[in-house]
Amino acid sequence: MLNQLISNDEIYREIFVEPGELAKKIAGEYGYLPYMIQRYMYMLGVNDTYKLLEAFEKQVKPVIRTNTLLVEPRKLYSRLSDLGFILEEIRWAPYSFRVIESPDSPTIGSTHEYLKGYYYVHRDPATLIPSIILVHGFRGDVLDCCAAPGGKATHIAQLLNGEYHVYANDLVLYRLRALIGHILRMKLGNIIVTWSDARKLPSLLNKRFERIILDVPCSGEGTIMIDKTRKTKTRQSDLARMVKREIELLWSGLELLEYDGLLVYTTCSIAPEENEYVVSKVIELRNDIEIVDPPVKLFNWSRGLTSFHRLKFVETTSRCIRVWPHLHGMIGLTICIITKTRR
Amino acid sequence: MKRIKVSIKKLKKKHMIELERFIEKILRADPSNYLKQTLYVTCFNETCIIHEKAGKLDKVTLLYSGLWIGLLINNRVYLSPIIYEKIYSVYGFRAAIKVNEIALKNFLYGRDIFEESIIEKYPPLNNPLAVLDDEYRVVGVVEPYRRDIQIYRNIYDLGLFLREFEK
Repeated sequence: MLNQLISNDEIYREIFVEPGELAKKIAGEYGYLPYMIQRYMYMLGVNDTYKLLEAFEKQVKPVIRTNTLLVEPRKLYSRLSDLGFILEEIRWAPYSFRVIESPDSPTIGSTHEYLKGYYYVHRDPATLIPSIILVHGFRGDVLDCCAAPGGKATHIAQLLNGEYHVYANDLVLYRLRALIGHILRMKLGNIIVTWSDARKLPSLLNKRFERIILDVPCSGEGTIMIDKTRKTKTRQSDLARMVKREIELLWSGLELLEYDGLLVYTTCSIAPEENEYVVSKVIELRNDIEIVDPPVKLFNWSRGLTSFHRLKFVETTSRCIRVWPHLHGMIGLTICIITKTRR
Repeated sequence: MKRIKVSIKKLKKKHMIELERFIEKILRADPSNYLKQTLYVTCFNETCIIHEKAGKLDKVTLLYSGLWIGLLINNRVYLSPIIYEKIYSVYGFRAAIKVNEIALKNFLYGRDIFEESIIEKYPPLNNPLAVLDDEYRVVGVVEPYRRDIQIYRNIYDLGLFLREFEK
């Protein structure tokens, strides 16, 4: 049904941006596709576009999240410090540490402590936010629709204190293998791993969930500092295809959500097309959902956009969360929290 | 990247018996406290994980669920560190060795263990042996090659997942 309601062509027409001369010039300086720069200028203005581009040139420092089911954060901090790592506590997730400096050997992903499952290595602290928000004050089973390689699923399993179940689903087998590797290494007994296209889950799975996390495959436009190929990887036609898939995934996620439950929709992208646009489209297509405020404020993040270029989004997209590289010193990440109401 | 072949099946009865016997005869514990009546094996290429439930969850393919029970390697079964540690916490150490720091580091890179690296022994020693680290955590399993050669062959170690699963 959704396919009949929304097409690639329609999305492409709606999101298309024609780059101007200044955008082309800046794109040439920084090595981006010009349409991307034009979009940053629409969102941020020229000055902040430059700040964003400069932030994308910086290196990110990885974050380790202590597996609190196996070891105390202070003990892990001390053991890794002894190995020569310089760590800085993440204030709003105090069991996590940013790796400021590393010794020549071992790498942070190959220490004895890592192999024993004492921690998980995240690319950036921003990736911790969706899981914390999802299970804030909640006890019960959780579905992670696109779970591999497992940063969020293992985090949620830990936040649930090893109780209840995390249903961790993904489509890509080699990523699922990595997820299972993390589950074994971290000795987690409450994760159930399934292999399916998340868009098909509503017809394959009988269970419905009070909490769902949907970290959809996206353009990764917030992670350019990690992968510079993303400066030129995604053409507007590719973006339109991704947006369509994201709409389909969100639709399916909502079909699996219990009434009054919460679904956290997140991307490691700053693209409004992949975030506020996707959520607005789905809200327009069904009358049983609404965006809600985050249940907790971890730091002074930015609010979601309510308009972009020619596009007007539903007003409540202002309740979404935006993490900007140039403002927050993390990768770009967007989160919208959606609840399902009775029609 | 090597193509991944996945297979899911029930653990064969002979392997189940092998696990039960090892727990009962060698570790002197009650297997029913640690093993469910039916166990499953999920293999990614040659690496086969024994765990508690697989197959179908409604109509979805269920790859892995429950506790990690062990590994199936060359048609033999070996307990996981989780199960070893659960048993040791109740019954004490058996069929285990503690090794020095250098040997431990090399072991976690997939190497074998030499007799002279062993600093503590917990008999019986003629079966698969759990390898203990400085915190008495199980980090893998070795097996003596032959009585006359004082080398313990690496059956698996916790570096396996970094080498095989995360690459």
